[in-house]
Amino acid sequence: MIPVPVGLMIPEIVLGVGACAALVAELTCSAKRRVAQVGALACLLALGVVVGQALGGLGGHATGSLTVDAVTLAARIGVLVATFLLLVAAPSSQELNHREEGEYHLSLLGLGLGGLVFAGAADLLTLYLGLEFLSLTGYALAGFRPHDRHAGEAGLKYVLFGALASALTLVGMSYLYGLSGSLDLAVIGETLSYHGASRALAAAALLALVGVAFKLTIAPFHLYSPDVYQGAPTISAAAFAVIPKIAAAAVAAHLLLWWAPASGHASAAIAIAGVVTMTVGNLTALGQTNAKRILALSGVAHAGYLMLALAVWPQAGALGAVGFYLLAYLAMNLGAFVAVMLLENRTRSSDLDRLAGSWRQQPLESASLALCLVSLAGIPPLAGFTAKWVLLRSVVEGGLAGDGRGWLLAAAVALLVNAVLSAFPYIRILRACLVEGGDDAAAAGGGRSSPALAVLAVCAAATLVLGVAWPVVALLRGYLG
Amino acid sequence: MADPAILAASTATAGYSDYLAIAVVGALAIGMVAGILWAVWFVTRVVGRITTTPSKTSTYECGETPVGPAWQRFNLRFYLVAIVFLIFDVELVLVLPTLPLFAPAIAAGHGVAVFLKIFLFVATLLLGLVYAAAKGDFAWDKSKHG
Repeated sequence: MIPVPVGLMIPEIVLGVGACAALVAELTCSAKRRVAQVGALACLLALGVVVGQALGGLGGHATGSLTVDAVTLAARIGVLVATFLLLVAAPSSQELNHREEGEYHLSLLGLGLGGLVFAGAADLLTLYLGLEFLSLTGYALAGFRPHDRHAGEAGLKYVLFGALASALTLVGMSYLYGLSGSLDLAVIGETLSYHGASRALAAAALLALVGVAFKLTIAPFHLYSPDVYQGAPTISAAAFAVIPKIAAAAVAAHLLLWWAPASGHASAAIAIAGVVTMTVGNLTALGQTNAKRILALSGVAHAGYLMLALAVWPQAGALGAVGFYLLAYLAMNLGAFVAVMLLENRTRSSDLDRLAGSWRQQPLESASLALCLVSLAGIPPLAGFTAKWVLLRSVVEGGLAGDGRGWLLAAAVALLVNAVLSAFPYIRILRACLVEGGDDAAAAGGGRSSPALAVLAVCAAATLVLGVAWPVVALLRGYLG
Repeated sequence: MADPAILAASTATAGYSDYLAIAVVGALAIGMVAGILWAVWFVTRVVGRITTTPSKTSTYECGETPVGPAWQRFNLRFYLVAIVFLIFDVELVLVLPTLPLFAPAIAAGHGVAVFLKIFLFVATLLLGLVYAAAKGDFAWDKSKHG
């Protein structure tokens, strides 16, 4: 194993030292939001380092167990921005027991650190370490409210599904190692192309991918997500919807770069998985009556769209489309979850009938939620539309490229149908919040909390701006390819 | 690099004859356990005519008459101690193998640097230990720690 130069790990080190500092802050400060502030500061510092690395032309750098290329750097920026925003918003949540709140912020910081490790994994050990890092902090975040039955259910379901996914991944990894004699993902890729037709290798690679699919919520590994998102504190659900998915998308992109030349049918398999995932997500969301469940299943559908963009690879601009999609998804999804959290602070529930008439008591939050949901549905001129447009164009270009992948056009049609289908669940939330009259007696409680509102404003503004941010699209296409 | 010999060996085994041996061993294992269980049952119940009475099947509580069901919450007072112990157990497993790796550096006179490198790892875990202690996780009477 080649040792990784320390310089490449500075973001992880900064976040790790930040976590230690946050631990000390948790012990010494009585105001537990100090922990979140220390963590947010560490995220900002690490973000500065990563942006510096990206501007410094660090790219295509693969050494040992960690690869720091354009994909990793972009994913790290996404993970750090998401962790920062979540740490700013988390102290405003009234779901957390204030005595234990500091440990929640610590776990959130740990989730961010796990995302960094996972996104840069270049061998099986780091891949598994990152996966477990994300999972273990995720379990803690899911079951955080100790005396809440739904939280307990969420935590237990997450642990059981996670353990199963982890076990399958390990089985696959052990076979990959046994068959290729190497932990290095790139070397395993060479072996795959050398013995591409070997059923054992293909099965092993497929099993090893279960962990990634679990984190990305690719069907059928998405089943945990509605229950976990509903039972977990809303900030945790927001974190699960963003951080593991960005990191897992980076891993998927890396695996494409290293493995795909080996298997000609990978593209079709990924596209089929994507279409199935988006259809399952959108159809399941139709009957839901809880805002967090709808957002969870919308996250499943969005993972499906992403898979379709990955299937287009190696067409130019495919990874750029993935990157921009994740950027838009980060903005609008975080905005939607933070808005739901602020509404929940008042209603104590994310059931649609309890959210009814929210616009009267919380007009700002409701309007931002509406903006994010409309964007998630892909209505112009918001970020969600532009992201879907870029993605669709990439898929159609891939279908017309004349390299025998004309079926991508059929996938593009499936994407369009799903985009229409996905609007209905969002409209249900909108109708509950904006149209239906609510119980005025429920006006008490809640109250404004400026940090979370600021995060909501940032997300809403990003959702608006990214809708017309064609230079960003061009930048990402140029950077990621 | 991938070893072609390993690859050839692994992919050439298209037949399933190797699995026959595993199947035989598995059948032997199941048969042995079933046979011993049957033998014990036969000797005690059929030959020895040992019978079952309600007092025989009841829970043994050191000669006392059992009171109440066992389905109750047990005090998990020491599970955190167990977890922290596990962490330091793994720490030992991780630290010891680094010593041969660092041996040339120590021989070359960089002992302090090696010590600091290892200590950095241990100190991170130590911080966790201090945290657990400060939270009162090792106290028998947790009520004193609020």
